[in-house]
Amino acid sequence: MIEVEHLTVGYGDTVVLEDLDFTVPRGDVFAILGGSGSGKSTLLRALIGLEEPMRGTVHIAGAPPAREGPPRYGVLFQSGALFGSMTLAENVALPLAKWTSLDRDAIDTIVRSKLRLVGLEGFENHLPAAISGGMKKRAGIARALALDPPLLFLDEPSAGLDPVTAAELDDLILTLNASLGMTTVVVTHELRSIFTIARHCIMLDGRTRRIIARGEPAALRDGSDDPRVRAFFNPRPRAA
Amino acid sequence: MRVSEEIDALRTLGLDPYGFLVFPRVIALALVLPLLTILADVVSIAGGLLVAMLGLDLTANAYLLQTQKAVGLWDVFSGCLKTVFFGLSVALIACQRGLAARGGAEGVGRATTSAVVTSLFAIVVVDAIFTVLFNAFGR
Repeated sequence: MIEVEHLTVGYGDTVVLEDLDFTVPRGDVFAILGGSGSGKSTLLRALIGLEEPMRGTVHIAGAPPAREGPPRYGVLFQSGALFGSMTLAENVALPLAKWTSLDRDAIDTIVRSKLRLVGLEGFENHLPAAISGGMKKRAGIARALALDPPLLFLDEPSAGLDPVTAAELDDLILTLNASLGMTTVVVTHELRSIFTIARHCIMLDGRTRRIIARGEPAALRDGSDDPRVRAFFNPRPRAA
Repeated sequence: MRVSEEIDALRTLGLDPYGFLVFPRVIALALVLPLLTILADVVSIAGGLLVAMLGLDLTANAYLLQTQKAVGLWDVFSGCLKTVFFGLSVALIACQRGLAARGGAEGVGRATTSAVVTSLFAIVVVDAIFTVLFNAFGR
């Protein structure tokens, strides 16, 4: 589904990630892991076409990430990135109004079904400011699903949420993956989320700017000899 | 919008941030600022009328006649014409600063201050250009 070859990305002359190679199989829930500042979000931005690679290529279903035209994938940003002056229904309807020729009634029906899918039925006319952080993320997912993309990118979906809401969001991601067969790429450093939702993962290291581990999360936790990987999966406070 | 990733969201939805955010704001300000100027003109004439009647013992008729003599149609029109360009300048500067904002709430504060200061400077410059042009054409 996603093929990344020799990808190097950065800002200006600063290289953030160097010579990355990995593939994400169709239907997978794939996690991009790493500590703060390791370049996870930068990699995600390169995958969705918001950052131009310095070198290397990204292919999604055989083509580079779209910079124009109808979106081929949905994206949930860390903050939800809902448009504050629009209701939840208007936010979800936006890509449908732009990229389909459906009439108003058909769009309303799809919007209601997407909001129901993420558990926000009855909140159609609420503004983003009037709902909680977890609900904003759910609404962001509904908007990302509006055009029924085969691929969903999620940037730290459980960041800033309480454990119960974060667990509900993880359940939602698993449900969407199972029911819609949607390939899902998640950027996260939340261990609970990683072991709950991810089938495969890569781990980035901010110092070397490269992938330092790849495979199934549990196998990495239990079998890696790399001290950085072990420290990530088994964090312990330094002795005083 | 930049710091809360809404512009990135627009791009990933295949929507052009300039068409979606910048164009409507520029057009709106260019259209509304002349209307605000006309409102300000009317209010200032009414204020002058109040002062003339209460403080200077002038009749309303005398004040309005004097105002009509002192203020020509060109004065009103040129004032409104300039504000179209003031509106364009302010909207373009504010949108540019907004789209370039970085660094969370602090960055938004810096961008807002920069937009206000640059807009004030732009208004002075645009006003000066119009003054030179009006003088050159004998107005």
